[in-house]
Amino acid sequence: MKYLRRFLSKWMSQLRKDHAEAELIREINAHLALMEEDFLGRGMSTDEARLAARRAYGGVEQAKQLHRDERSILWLERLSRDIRFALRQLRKSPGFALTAVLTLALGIGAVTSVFSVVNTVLLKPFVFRDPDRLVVMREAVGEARGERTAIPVNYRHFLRLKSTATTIEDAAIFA
Amino acid sequence: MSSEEKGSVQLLQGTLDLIVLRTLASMGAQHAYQIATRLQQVSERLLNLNQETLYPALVRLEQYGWIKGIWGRTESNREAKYYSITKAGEKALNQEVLRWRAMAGLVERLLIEDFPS
Repeated sequence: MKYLRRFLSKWMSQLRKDHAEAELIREINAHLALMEEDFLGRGMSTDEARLAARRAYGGVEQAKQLHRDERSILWLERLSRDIRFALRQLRKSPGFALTAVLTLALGIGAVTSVFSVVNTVLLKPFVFRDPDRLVVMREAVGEARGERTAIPVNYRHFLRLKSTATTIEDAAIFA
Repeated sequence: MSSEEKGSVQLLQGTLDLIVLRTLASMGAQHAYQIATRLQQVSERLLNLNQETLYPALVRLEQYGWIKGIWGRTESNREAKYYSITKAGEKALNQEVLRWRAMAGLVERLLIEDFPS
């Protein structure tokens, strides 16, 4: 339960990062001001009190970073930092970026095309059983004999063939 | 105030949560500086709590829903974020206390066994 709650509020603080950061700075400043006041009450001068408060507090920046690490989802924070860094680097050297993009594009393209061939030829089972007994039939029109006829198969003919033919087991049609 | 000061003790991992919860439960709403000051008083300066380490603990506890921070004003009319313990926090404190006692008791027994006096 407590971890779920914490996870949710971590997401919230991720979404409202600026708010969380502003809140933290406000809190640290308030803390320092209170300390300063204390030191002033002990008879220090304004500057001395300010310095002493800072010294007693410890590292303000460290505190901020600890706070950030604690309130955020660390891996997400690191990931986005890495991505931002990578994008910055790429923008800095466009030649390298272009080469990298082309390399990736070529690589992905080659792999995809090889895979689609392998997939259809080797991996996917053939849709018809006993492929060695498979034949392709075409319709030829008497008047056009001898010429290369490319007329589509008549669907009625196909239906009749499928139901009456005895030399074939079954039939399917494709366009 | 350095951590190398003679006789000072390092805070045991995981005990800061318990200490903060306990302080808030007994003292009511406190801001971070008050908590830090209080801890130094109670420990008679034996415990050297860096103020910076207090903040992560406060975030953690607030994210658990065990404490709640609300902005308020101090007696000298300065703004400060006051943390108070919640219902869930009180329940958690009880459990943490039990756990701590069990742990401390175990260590104590082991120490007695090893060095009979």
